[in-house]
Amino acid sequence: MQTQTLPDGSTEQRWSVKPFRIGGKNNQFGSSVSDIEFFWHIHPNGSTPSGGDRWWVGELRKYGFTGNSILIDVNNGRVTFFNEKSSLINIKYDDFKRMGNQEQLK
Amino acid sequence: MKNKILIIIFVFISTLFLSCSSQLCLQKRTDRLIEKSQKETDTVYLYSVAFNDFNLVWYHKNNFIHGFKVKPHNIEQYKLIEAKNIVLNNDSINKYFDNFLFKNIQCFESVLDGAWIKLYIKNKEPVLSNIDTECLFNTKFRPNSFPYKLQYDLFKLGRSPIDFNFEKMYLE
Repeated sequence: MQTQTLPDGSTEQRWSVKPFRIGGKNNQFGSSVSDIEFFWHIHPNGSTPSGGDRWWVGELRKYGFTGNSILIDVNNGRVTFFNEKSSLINIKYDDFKRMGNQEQLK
Repeated sequence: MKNKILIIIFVFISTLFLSCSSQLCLQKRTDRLIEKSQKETDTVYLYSVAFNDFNLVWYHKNNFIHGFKVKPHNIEQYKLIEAKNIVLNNDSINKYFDNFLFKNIQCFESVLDGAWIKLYIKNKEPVLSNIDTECLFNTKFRPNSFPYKLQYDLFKLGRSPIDFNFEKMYLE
């Protein structure tokens, strides 16, 4: 998190996360980008995917990504699936976990 | 009385259909402003910080910055800011915007959320880059490079840290 004070006295706070960074190394995709089934990140404050989040999906698509992009809203217990254009569906976190369990049962 | 109830119901239903979430309204309003601004100039800049409820849009025209703070339900126009339109080196845009996922450029590493800048250049696809603003305002860049111009524009728009002074940084 970064905080800066602006000339008008207001403060601006910024949170960011570098996806696929493991052990200090960038772009640890495991294999190729086209093999990624999903990627996710967390927003602490209930907001929807940012323009930058959607841009990421668009850029991953250029490298063959066809999976899901997931945003977890910790504050409200909601999960948003989104693509490069917009949010697609917003579900309860509990339902999302249940979906994961069903996937494991298969 | 019956008419009044009908009007209230009509207004209520219209509000339901016309309303949008804060982020969606912000996005739509920003898109419309950019489209309008592109009729005035070749290059429009959009600066955004994740979790903020506003975007910053600006362009240069006739030695002034035309700046707008776009909020979900209104747009505040800045007073015209006298500023030079720094001409960029030829390679500067490509260096900072190409190869989004794999670029490893100081202060412009790709991240989720944080701050980002999007350039709308006439007859070209928009380009986006993340900005590590703390790094940006603590680094001296080559004059006429993209980050140099970004420092200048954000400084003029009052979006640089309080202790940052563009002239001081480059005169010293």
